[in-house]
Amino acid sequence: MFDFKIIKFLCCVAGLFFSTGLLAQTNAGIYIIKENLISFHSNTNLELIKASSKELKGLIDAQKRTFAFSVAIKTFDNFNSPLQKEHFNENYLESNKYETANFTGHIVEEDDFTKDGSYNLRAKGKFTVHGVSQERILQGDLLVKNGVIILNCTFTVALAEHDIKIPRIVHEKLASEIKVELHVEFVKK
Amino acid sequence: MSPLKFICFFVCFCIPVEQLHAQYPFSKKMDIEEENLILKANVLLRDHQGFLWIGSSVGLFKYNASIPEKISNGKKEKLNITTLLEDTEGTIWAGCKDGRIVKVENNKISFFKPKEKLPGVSITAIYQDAKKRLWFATGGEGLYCYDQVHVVNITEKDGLGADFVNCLYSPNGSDIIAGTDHGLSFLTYENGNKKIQIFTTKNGLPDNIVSCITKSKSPNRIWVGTQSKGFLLFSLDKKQIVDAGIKNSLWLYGQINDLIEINHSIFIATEENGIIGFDSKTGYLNKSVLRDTLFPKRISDLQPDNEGNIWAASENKLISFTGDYLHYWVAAKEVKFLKVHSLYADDDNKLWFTPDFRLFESSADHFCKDNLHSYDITAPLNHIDITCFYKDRFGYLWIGTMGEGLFRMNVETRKWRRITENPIAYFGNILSIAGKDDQVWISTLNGVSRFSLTEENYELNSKISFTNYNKKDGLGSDYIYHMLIDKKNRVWFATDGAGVTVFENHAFVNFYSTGQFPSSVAYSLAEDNNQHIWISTYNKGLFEYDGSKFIQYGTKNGLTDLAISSISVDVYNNVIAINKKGIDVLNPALNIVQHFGAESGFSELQPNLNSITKAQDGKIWIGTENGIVCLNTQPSFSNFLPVAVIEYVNLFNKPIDTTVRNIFTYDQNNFSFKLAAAYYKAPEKIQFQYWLEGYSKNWETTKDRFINFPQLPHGTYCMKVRASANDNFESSPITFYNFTITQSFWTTWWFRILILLCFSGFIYWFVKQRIQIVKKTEHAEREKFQLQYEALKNQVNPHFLFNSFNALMNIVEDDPKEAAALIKHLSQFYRKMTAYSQKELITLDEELELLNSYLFIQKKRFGTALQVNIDIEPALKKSTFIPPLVLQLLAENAVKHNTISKDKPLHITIFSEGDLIVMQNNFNPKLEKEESEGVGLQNIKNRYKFLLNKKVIQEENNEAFIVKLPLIYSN
Repeated sequence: MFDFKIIKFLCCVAGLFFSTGLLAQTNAGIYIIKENLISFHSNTNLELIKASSKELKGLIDAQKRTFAFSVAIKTFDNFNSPLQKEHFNENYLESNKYETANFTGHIVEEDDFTKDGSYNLRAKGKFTVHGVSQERILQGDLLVKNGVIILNCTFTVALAEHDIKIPRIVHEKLASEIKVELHVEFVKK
Repeated sequence: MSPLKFICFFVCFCIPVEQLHAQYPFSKKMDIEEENLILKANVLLRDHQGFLWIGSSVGLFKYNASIPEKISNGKKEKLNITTLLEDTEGTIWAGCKDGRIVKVENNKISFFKPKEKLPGVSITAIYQDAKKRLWFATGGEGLYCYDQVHVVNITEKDGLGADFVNCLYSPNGSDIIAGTDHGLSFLTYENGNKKIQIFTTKNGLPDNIVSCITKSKSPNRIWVGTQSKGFLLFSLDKKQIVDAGIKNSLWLYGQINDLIEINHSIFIATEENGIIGFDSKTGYLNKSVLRDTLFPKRISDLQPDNEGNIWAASENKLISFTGDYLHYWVAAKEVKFLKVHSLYADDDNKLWFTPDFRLFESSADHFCKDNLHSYDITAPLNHIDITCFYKDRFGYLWIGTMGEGLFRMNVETRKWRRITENPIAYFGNILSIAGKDDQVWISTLNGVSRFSLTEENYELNSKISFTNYNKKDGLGSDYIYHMLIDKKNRVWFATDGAGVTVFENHAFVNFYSTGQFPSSVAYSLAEDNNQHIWISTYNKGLFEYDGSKFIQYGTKNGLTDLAISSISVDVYNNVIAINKKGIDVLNPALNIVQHFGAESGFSELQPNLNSITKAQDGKIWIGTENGIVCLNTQPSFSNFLPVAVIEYVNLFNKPIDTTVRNIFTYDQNNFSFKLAAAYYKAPEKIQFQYWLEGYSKNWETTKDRFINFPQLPHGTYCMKVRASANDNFESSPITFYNFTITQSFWTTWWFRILILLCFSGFIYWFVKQRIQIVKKTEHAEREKFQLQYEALKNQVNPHFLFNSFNALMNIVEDDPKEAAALIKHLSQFYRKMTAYSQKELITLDEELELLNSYLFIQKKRFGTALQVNIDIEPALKKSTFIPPLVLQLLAENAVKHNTISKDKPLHITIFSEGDLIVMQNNFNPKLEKEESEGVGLQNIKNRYKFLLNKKVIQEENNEAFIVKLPLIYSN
């Protein structure tokens, strides 16, 4: 009689072996996040909305020159008030429905940023917030030293581009653009 | 169309901001809203008719009137349009963000559905090459080429720089240049063979992401805009970057979305920094073309219209600005450019002007803050009002003032002298200075003065000889606003009170007093290239003097205002007329006027009298209370006219394809026409004139864009339309549509004749019938009277009475009872006869009773010789009718005409036979014929015929005489 459980076990082992082998192969150029701070604010005369998160996840593949980042919307904190956080999650970003904000794509410049030095690079890819994706080119400063990459990046998100609807009356109070600041430290995996 | 709000407001006098070059085009911006949601305008297109199309985040709009109209297929489909193209056939192609492609033909929108798979990513550009192939650039799937049959995909695998293609351009129509995320890709695609060459940072391109490519006006060159490193000029034949002469090559303004070149100006739309200008002549960048800081910073597309304005699409606004043809020199922090009462461009192309009672000079080629020079001529006299300038042949500047007289300045040394030797100049009000060669004329409120310059007296401190002229010398007036020395060396004077005066051959001629010039107040003078003199007036518009007569130009010619404060003639021989509403540019040859006014933001400026000058480079400078305006006239000003188009023709409210249909049946007669004309300067000013030839006799003027003809009769028509932004339609091009409505068969001549014939035939028949009826009734009437007459005659027939009485006499004694019966019958007979003779019909029963009475009497006379046998059913007697006295008459006839004796008795039989009542008697005629008119029987026959239309049958033989009468049933 054929033992189904044994087959399954063998398959799992084989799968594990292959996948680890694959990882070992590509690990060479992969950088993972060690520390990060992502914050945003909208500075207007009447109301300042601000928040930050340290829960950015993602990696850079220096060989393929691709990257992927993701942050859970609910991890944003340090708002001006708890009410603002509630509005942010429930009314504007609908974080129950659209849990994360993502940015995946490739690096435009052909510089080899694994070497020590400072670089100004552009990343082009799909930027998804509130379930709406936009093709974006973002510029970032990279400082590389002893295998550690420090990325600083500032960019804006236009609310209208991501279908983030705010009532007309709030429109005046809230900037139609949100400024996002990103500070990430990468280490080689 | 969903309701679309279109708010438009002008922004000309907003917050002044400090700029490197404070030279701004006039601009206006508008919100495009649909259902209170502000739309994002992504891309603009100008079609072959001059209309603007707006590709927005919620669909396609055509800007054909005062508001853009959404082009929709009726379904609530949201198309996020990212690129637009009009092909050579006039079809509009639109690419969407989701990869769908739509096309608009005859105002109908449909999806492009080839056999092959379409892109699944955003369409970034569409281009049509000389072979009419359509190229679709995508953001992630390379290029798609549609050769009208198949769609072919060209990607990185084929050698394309990158699958992200941002823009397309074809320099010669056959090769395609694609701007990709990995440089420029030069592509040749013939018969399935692809040849791709790429040009990237390795070849010297500053940035690999090419965001836009635009044709340059220099041949074989293109402008290339990049994502982060600015723009560059690229030579196609050398395949290398060419120096564009950019002074500061460091680009700080981020991603370039679009770039257009107009004359010497390049306008660059950026993602984050609004519109950047670049002057290719000077190499300077203008880091903010639009003055208002409230203007959106993200400009996605630029598109010039046919009027010379440039339109910019941004996230929530549509902006139009005057490009490089109309500038406004804004007050910078150091210099206030207010109250510019006079301007003068000298022979060195230096511009002299007086903001706020001070004197400045700058280069007119590059009028900017860095080139400004201030002069202290008026320092001892603060707030002196300079009214006019002139630079003489020795290079000295003459300066006229209000109330402070005349000054002369050495431009090099900046030394000046007040002209004190001439009493009308000293402390006078100088209104104008004109000069040529050795003459300098000044005009004042006290007449004019002519100075003569010579080699001896030209130095600053030398006294200059002069001659003064006033009203009495022939000037006509002492108030001279303006002077002009023309090419024939005549001196012209624009006066207040005496119109225009000319000084020729040492003598003055005043045209107002001669009656040739109708306006007493003339403001300004100019001479055109044909050596015609132009005169502006206080309230009568413009006049052109062609050497023999004055020709007037007014609102009929399209001028917006008749009070024209100053005029000039531009390089294209257009007359520039400044009024309080703005600038009118008149092309006298074509009789066209362009107006730049409130819609360009000009009207608030309050131009000053004769504060106008033409620089060496042809630019016209205008001084106003609120600043300096520079008009750089374009060739299009001389000939641009709004062109009326028939957008569509509706038949019973359903659009028809006018290219294939122009013949209609008689009942297809409800036509409506929708008109449009591209005139973006002031869409609300557009008026239409239409003329339906074959229906009306002349042009009708309307502002309505819908013209309706509800019930057109058959005929051949030509719908002609034209448009104008002023009252002058004469030069406007005419658009027309010919069509025919065929005749219905009942309106054709043969049908009408047929109807006429039928009708007259009918009338004829009817009249004839009537006559017959009338005749018949007349006849019947006569017969009736005849019968009555007969009967009445019988009533008094003496024989009958005599015979009756004889019979009575015979029996009265023997049988008194019988006699009484006879008398009774006799009286009954007469009574009934009298009663019935008036009636038309009586029952058979009544007639038979009458007959019985008669026969009873006759029987008394003849005894058994008269035998009567009546055999009629009683029911029939009651139900049938008979004309009165008919049977009695027949019986009487039988008695009258036959021998009655015992040997030969008379048998009268009456019986019914079908529908007939028959009276029969044996035939035994008297030898001697009883005198008879023979009318009795004939009378009966006629009565039956005319009254009842029935025939009486008479049969006669040797044995019997039979009369058959038709029975008449009730009704």
